[in-house]
Amino acid sequence: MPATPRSQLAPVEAARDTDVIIRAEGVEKTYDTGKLRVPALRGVDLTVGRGEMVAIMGPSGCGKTTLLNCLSGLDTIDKGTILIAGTDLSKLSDNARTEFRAREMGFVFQFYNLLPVLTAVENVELPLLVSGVRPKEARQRALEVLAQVGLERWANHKPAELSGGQRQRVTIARALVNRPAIVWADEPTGDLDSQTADEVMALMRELNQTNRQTFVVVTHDPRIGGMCDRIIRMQDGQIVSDGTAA
Amino acid sequence: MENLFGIPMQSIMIALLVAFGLCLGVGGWIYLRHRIIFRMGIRNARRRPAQTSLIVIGLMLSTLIIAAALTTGDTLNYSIKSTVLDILEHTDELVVPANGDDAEANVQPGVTFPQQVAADLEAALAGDAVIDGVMPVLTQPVPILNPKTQLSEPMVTAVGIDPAALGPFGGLRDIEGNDIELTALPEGAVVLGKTTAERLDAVVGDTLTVYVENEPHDVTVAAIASDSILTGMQDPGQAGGFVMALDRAQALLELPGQISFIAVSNAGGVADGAEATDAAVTAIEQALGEAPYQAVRVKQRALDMAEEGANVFTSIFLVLGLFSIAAGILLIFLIFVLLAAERKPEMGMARAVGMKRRQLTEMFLAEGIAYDLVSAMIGAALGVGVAFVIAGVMGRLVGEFFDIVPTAHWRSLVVAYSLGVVVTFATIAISSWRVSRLNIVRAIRDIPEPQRQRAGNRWLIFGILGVVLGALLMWVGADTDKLFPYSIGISLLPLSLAAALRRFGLPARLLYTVASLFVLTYWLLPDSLHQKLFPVLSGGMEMFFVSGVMMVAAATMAIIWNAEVATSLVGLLGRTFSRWLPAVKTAVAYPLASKGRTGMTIAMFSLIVFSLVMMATIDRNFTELFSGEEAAAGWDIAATRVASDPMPAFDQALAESGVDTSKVAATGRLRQVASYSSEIRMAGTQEWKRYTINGVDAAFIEHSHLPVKIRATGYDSDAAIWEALRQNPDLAVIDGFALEGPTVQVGSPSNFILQGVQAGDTTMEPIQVEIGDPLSGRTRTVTVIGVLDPKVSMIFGLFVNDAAFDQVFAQPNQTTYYVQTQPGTDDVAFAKEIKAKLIAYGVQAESLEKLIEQETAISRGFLLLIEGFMALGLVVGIAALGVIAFRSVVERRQQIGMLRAIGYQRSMVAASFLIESTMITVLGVGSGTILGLILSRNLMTSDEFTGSSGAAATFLVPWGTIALFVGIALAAGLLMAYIPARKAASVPIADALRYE
Ligand SMILES: Nc1ncnc2c1ncn2[C@@H]1O[C@H](COP(=O)(O)OP(=O)(O)O)[C@@H](O)[C@H]1O
Ligand SMILES: [Mg+2]
Repeated sequence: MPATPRSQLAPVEAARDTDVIIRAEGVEKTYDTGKLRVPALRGVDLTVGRGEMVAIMGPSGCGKTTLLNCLSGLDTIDKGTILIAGTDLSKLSDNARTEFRAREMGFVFQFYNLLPVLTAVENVELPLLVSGVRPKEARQRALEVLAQVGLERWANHKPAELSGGQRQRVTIARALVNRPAIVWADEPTGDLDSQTADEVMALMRELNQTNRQTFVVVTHDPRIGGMCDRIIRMQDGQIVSDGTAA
Repeated sequence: MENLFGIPMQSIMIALLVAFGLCLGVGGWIYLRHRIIFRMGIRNARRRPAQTSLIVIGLMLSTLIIAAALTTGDTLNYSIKSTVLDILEHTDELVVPANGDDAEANVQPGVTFPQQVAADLEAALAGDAVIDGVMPVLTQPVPILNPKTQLSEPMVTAVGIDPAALGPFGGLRDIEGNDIELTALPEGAVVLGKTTAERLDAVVGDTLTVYVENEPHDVTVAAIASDSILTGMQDPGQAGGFVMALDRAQALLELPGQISFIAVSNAGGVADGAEATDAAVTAIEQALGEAPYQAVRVKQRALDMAEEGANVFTSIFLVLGLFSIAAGILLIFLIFVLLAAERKPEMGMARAVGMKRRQLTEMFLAEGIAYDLVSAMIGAALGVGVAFVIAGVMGRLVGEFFDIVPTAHWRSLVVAYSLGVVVTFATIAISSWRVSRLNIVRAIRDIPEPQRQRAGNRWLIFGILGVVLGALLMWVGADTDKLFPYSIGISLLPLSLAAALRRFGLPARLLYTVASLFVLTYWLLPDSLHQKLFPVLSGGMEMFFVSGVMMVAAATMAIIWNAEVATSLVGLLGRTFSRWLPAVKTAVAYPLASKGRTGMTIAMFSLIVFSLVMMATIDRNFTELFSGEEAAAGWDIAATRVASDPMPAFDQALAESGVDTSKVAATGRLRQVASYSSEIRMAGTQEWKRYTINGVDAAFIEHSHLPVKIRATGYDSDAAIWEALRQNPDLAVIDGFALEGPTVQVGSPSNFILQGVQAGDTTMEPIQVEIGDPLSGRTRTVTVIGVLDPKVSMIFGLFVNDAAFDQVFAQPNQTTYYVQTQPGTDDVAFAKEIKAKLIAYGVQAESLEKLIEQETAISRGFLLLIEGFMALGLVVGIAALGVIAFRSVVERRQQIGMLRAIGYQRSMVAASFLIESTMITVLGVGSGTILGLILSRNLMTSDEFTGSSGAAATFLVPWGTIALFVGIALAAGLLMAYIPARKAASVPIADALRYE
């Protein structure tokens, strides 16, 4: 793999010494729908080190997705602080925050990961294009990453022409193409049968280990959790246990 | 209006009401059979008010256009008719010396006959139940001057009427409504018409000077009456005149015992009098017996012309409105496709729980009918509003001639409403059927339908049907010499063939591209090539619409299937501005992915812009054609004289009256016999036809610049032709209106047509024609050696030299002295001076440039009005963009969230939407502009067109107007995308990502 232009990753570089990449303290979040107030996070404290692969588990509705969205700066919090590589994302402008995401983060969402109107390779190269990589180089790197996830033959197909597992692998390729410091994955195997889920998970684990990237994976599947370094369990918007996988 | 396209409005209304009833019936039936379905449909309409209003706009457009066109017809019909009735009042027929067939016969200036004829006629008609009044009338054109104000009119009509016969004609009243007793007026008193009074700024008590045989006579204004045939106004727009008792008029005009016509009033009022015209004419003709006089149906003829004129306008507005209606139909279809897309999961669910496909169709139909009934109502009301605006503009253009009174006839509204409902219903029915076809599983999971490489059997069947229909239409068209079916057939056939061939796995892109390029070639091939490859058939104004629809369909298909090419250009731009590349990427991908929507929107814009560009281009080139430098043959001022009393030679008259002749560079004389008092026929044929005949003097020939379009063999220059004509009284030159050409023929069937030469020819053989004077009975043969270039638009007719003219004609209807002024002369002021100083001779002088300007101002005004009306269609395209853009934001909410998460800035999301809309608009506007320009260029430079109207090979493009249309379309498109784009940019990321 060719070397990444690391100079772009200055904030992460600065935080390297501490080796803590995610630090959250006293995070609270309440959804206010007008009629109803739903406390989704009720004082979460969390630290994740660089290169860790963390699983967040817990029953449906306990706040896993909310936590992920708040940590990654996609959503706002009501109380507490979150530092990503030492940077408080909530203090940045929307544009700066967006740029930070584009450079430092990769996402695998629960639903809606790919643009149906673009081909696999076009989907994968998007994060590179938004961070200003030249189109030629972006295409080449996207193809390389697609090859890594075993989909080079499907590069020019649209998502509708791919199977569920293939689609999720394209998503992972997209999440990894810009060599992000952190990859957020929300139920990445939710829609997949167990064998495909294992393959996808194995792929993520492999990439985590070769690239020393941080992975935060939300799942309710214990087998998936078992493949991670550490499992954080949540209930009713709080972390109830935090430990290495059994 | 009583007729439309020759069909009685009453029948049209009844047929439409039946169809309207059927639509209502379907709605009622759905309601009774499945109230639930009906209610679901209605509820859907209420769910989204913003969307509902866009839908209503789309659905109302057809009705609006139809209502506006019909109401414009009503307005013109009413306005022209009431002007006609105001002028003619109780006069229904005129009796004049026999001078031609029914459609042409008229009062001829300068022709009088004994008053006794009227007395005899009255006696013979006494006791006739149909006719209640017979009145002898004397009219003569005279110059008049108001010494107090120094205002003059070289040609007003002096009228003498028999006061004893005035009763049945409604008497004479002044503008305040007081009765005027003509016999009680003092000697030398006249009743002045309103228009003449205004032009002379004359009031009651003023003494005016009237010139008879060049001698001044004083008359005093005893009263001012409204304009009518009795006060000297024979046609709208004239200067009017004054009236006095018949014996006094005969004395003043030195025509004792003479009259010009006999006015006849039918029993009944002003409007219904005309109904008895046929019976009255029979009675008059019986009474006249063998006497050489004839009855002229003036009122009936004028009313018919009003109806016809109104009809022409309605047809123009309807045919041109078809573009907007077609775009509106596309919009309706598009709206339904979008509605269906939005409700796909619900529809799938409904199907899964047992709803039949037919019931889905019925649900959409129910909803559509509800929309339809309401929006057609709004459309009809707005259509009347638009028609009233049109009436306002027309009033400004032709107010001098007609008082335009906005009028809406209830029958037109019923027709517009029910036609609008029926057209929209048909569209809705087809759309509903189309959108209710869906795969249940895919629908529930909202997965897009896959694009199959090989099409199903349905395509094969439709394709084969299309091929058969296309071939049939071509055959019918070729067989009956009608371009309309042939051109539809030849366009339908290749497209259908392409659809059929898809069944066999051939690539759709290749098939459709080849087919649509073929269709475009058919329509856009230059004339010369076209005639070699395809049969030459005849068509009319409807071809404008057919060509537009077919070319736009083909061009849109070509664009859609090759959009990758167009979008890669946009992509290149994106590369140059690499910061925007991601925005461009998504902007380009979406429209490519939904070809149907994109295609429909492109087609809408293309269609409207095509029609606008065509109109603007034709407008520009015609205006140039008829108002170009050559229009007045190099002359600056035309001094026209109708009076027949002697006048010294023009140059001498100018000098004697104290006109500054140092400003005159040259003069020439043209004496004209109008078509209604001349006879002409091909030598050796029997039937006399009519044509304007001019006798021109040597000076006129010498100083005119008169290009000849078609020269007879033996003459190798224009100068040779005119020199020959000057010397030889056996020769003549004629203008292009006498030629037969495939383009629209103007004039009445009794107009002379020159045989043996065609519009578009470049040379001709000399052709012999015979000309004659019905009054003197003399005839003569002349040889036509050239056809005048129609660029000379201010001078028309057949030209012979003075010697030939004098041999045949006793006197001209009018004489025009053309003047070339020295450089630097103010022609308008100089014309005024000539007019004032030569008032005694009744000379009306005008700057030719000003005349041309005035004429083109009116026709340009009408063309602009029509263009404005057509531009209404742009609303459709803009609404479509709006609907799509709003819908896209809703549809792509989660995708937007995802893009924002992976690093799209807000501005990038907004830019993506804007680029997408702009690209679609540009493609539509661009293809419409290009098609319009190519087609109008072909038209303007075709033999057929240049032959009959002489457009040079130069083709003018109204860049300004086109830029305006394009600018409006683009700006409106951007605006329509801007609001949803902003909405899209502010989508909260986490929220958007969460829900399915
Ligand atoms: N936009 C929202 N508005 C209101 N309530 C929400 C919203 N998003 C999530 N919730 C609620 O917050 C709680 C946590 O949700 P979520 O983080 O999605 O849980 P999980 O991912 O663990 O299933 C749930 O009770 C959910 O109903
Ligand atoms: Mg979740």
